[in-house]
Amino acid sequence: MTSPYSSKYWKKVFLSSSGRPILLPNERDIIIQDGIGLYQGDYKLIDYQRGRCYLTNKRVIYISDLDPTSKSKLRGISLDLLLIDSIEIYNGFLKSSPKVIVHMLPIVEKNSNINNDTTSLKIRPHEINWVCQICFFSNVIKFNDVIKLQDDWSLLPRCQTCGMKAERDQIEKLIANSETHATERADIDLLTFDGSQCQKCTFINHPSMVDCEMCGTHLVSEGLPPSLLKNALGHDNYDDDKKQVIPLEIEQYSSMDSVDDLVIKFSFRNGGHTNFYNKLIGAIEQSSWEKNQSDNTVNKGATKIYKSDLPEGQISSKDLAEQLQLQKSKSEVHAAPSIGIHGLQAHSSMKSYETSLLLNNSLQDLENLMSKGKELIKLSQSYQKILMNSKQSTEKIDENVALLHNSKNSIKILDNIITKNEFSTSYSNVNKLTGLLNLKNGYKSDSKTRSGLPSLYIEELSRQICEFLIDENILDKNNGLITLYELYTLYNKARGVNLISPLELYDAVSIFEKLGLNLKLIEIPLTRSTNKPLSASDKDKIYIVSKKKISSSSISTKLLTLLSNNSTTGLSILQIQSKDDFNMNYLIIQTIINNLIAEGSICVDIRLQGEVYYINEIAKFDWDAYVKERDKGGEDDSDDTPLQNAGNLSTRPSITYGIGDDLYSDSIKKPLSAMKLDGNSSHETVSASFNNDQQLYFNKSRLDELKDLDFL
Amino acid sequence: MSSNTFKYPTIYNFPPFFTKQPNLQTFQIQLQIWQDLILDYCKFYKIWSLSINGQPNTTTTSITDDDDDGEEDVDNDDIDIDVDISKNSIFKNDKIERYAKSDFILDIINHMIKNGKCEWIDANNHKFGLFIYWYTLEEWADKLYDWIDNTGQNNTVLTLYEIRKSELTENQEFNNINLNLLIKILEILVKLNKALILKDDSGSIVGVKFS
Repeated sequence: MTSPYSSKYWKKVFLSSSGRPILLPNERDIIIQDGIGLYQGDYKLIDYQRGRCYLTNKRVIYISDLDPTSKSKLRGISLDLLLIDSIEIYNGFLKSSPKVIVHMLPIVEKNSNINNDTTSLKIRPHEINWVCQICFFSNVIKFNDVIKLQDDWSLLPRCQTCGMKAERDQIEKLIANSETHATERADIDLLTFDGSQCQKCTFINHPSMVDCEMCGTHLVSEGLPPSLLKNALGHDNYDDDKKQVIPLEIEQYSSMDSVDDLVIKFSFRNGGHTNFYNKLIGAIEQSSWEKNQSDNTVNKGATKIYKSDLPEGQISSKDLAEQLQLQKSKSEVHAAPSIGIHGLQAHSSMKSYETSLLLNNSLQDLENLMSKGKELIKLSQSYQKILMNSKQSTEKIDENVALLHNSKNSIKILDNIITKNEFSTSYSNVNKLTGLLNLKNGYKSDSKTRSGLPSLYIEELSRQICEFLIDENILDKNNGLITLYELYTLYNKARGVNLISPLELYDAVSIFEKLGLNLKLIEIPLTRSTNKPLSASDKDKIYIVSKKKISSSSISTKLLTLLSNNSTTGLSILQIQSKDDFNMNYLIIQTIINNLIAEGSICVDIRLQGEVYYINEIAKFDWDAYVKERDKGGEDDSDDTPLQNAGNLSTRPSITYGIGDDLYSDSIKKPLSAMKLDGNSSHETVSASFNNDQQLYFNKSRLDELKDLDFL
Repeated sequence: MSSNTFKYPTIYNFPPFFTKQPNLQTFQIQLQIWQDLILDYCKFYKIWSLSINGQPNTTTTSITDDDDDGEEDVDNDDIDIDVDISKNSIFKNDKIERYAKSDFILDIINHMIKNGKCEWIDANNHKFGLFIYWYTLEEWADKLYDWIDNTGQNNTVLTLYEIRKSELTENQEFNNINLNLLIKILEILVKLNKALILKDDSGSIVGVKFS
């Protein structure tokens, strides 16, 4: 018995391609717990009985373990922490699992009015930036504040640093501007609309696509009209106020009245409820505090005392990552809007702190650069000497010196840019890392995984690696394949701190398919040397991460066609690598080739220059057919390039024995037929039967090998 | 193109043919093709024995041959050879600059010995080379006896030279047959009671009488 139900509290959450929620600006993970089911009142929510919860500093995000391909149900839904009234814990009894019970605040009617306002506007207004005319600080007015402003112009915002009130004319103009922009964008011509063009691979997707069809990158389609927006599965979830009713189904209930709208239960089937409960309490307090701060309602009229202590439990480790986190939250406290001289002071001190950090970093790099520069100068001096000795025109030398000088400068600039970039990316990754660290430390180890780490941690790591692969576009750069070794170094280099171990990576990558990600791990037996017997090399394996649709068989067929196009000369691995389609790791090609050899479809020519691979003409060659053809046919002229006809026995030139030596050829034919009759161990019959046996054995073993190779 | 030159099959110009293939099935097929090729080649040029390098053997007679020393040279001259095959090895293809390595050659030879297609002239000393049996000894014996039968030479005594070199056998396949090989064949006929080997006092063969 199921019945439809809709809740005002659950909101859509947009998920990244790896199934992790996309967090709002300034939002960060606090804790992740899996094995959670949802209840509305006393009734189960259908399809939301197995999933994981992300507690962030703004929301509780629930992501169900539904099949990611089914679009019928939303996988990710979230609760706003600000709408939570109170929570209690239930420790479970007998068969009922422990639960965290959340009581929601009743939603005020006014909110729905605002809802109507937004829909009547039929546009999706953006935040409005206004520049203070006194201190030129660029302030932001949030969308809901804009709505309020339109109702009541007395609520004009104040500058966040110097406290001056904005002027009404300026704000009105800005609002009008943003609206016209939005309405312009509301009409969409599907042909010219470029919002659905993927930023990574430039593929133009259908406007209603959420992820890029080609590479899986999340599409930013800001300019979609509201009607399309709905199809696009909640692109509007960045707007806190805009609500969309999510269709849910609850289990077994008789009348609508019996469902308590305000009570939502999280059932913890895998435990972890107390931890979650404590963190949730902290997060709710913190979020309401932050909300008050942003509304300027904290300590109104009271003297400000700086507090850098943060609630316990959020920060435990002394890692660099944690320090950065601390600095960030510190700066958040500093950035709390205060008015007047204090505000300006705080703002400027924060700015100087940031720049000093940056400066420190760049100074180090500068030192490195200087040492390099010295080497460069040495080089240029020796270069100069050579030029002088050759007594060429001095002008040229001057030009060269100037060029060197210029390049030195440009290197300096480039270096600065690079360090700035790295700084910002690592800064944004810190949140991800700390979330992972908490998972790693917080749970009992799991014997199922090779690294012995909790499976929840591995799953989360797996999702992050998937995102990393897609964001950095690594697979497309490498023809859709990457060895685990390469991925390991790339990923750890990108992380910078808290490097993961190879076992962790292996565990994370091997569950790609289990998590329903668009990636998979391929195992190929690694055969370094073709001369070794095959059984000896079975224990060595090469691991390759690839997209799901790519299979090693498709690569081998491509390779086979490539080789058959070059059947006269054959190809070495290096030559294969230089082809466009095979621009991949040497080991991978080597392994595929060795598998093809084991399969018997190609053969090798070992020469001084190395190994060259050919289509297996040897296996195709049929001596009996060749002899028959030769004895039957006339005296053809010789074919100087016989390999062109290889594999096509009927077109082969045939040869006869001596001219006019009829007796001779007769005497050949006679014993031949005689031998075949008595079935003696003549070589023709032996070879024929041998060939048949071989063929049988060959086919059978080839089938077996194909089965083994069939890792698709 | 002269028909006096052996026409190699297309596979002979395929470079991997000269490399021992790592795939076992392919390798077996490769060995078989090599065997067929060698037999065909030797049959075409009437090469009775090959050295281990794949060259036609000229030293085999040194073991027991009591013919005059110039015998083998005459043998070689009798074969109408346009190309100087005595210096060409079957295991070496100059056209594509490939040759089979010695361990691979040994594999081929062992494969042929297993199939009864060749035999070491001296099992203890491989440098003497191999007899190549494009027909097995039994087949040779049949051929020889058929010829005797068809020409009505039963109960006549023939010298070995007559069988090998005389005008009588000019059109027979065993014309110019290697002496040691002929003795082996005759020994088989003796066992079948179809021939009698006549020896002189010193024990060397002087003639054979077919029954």
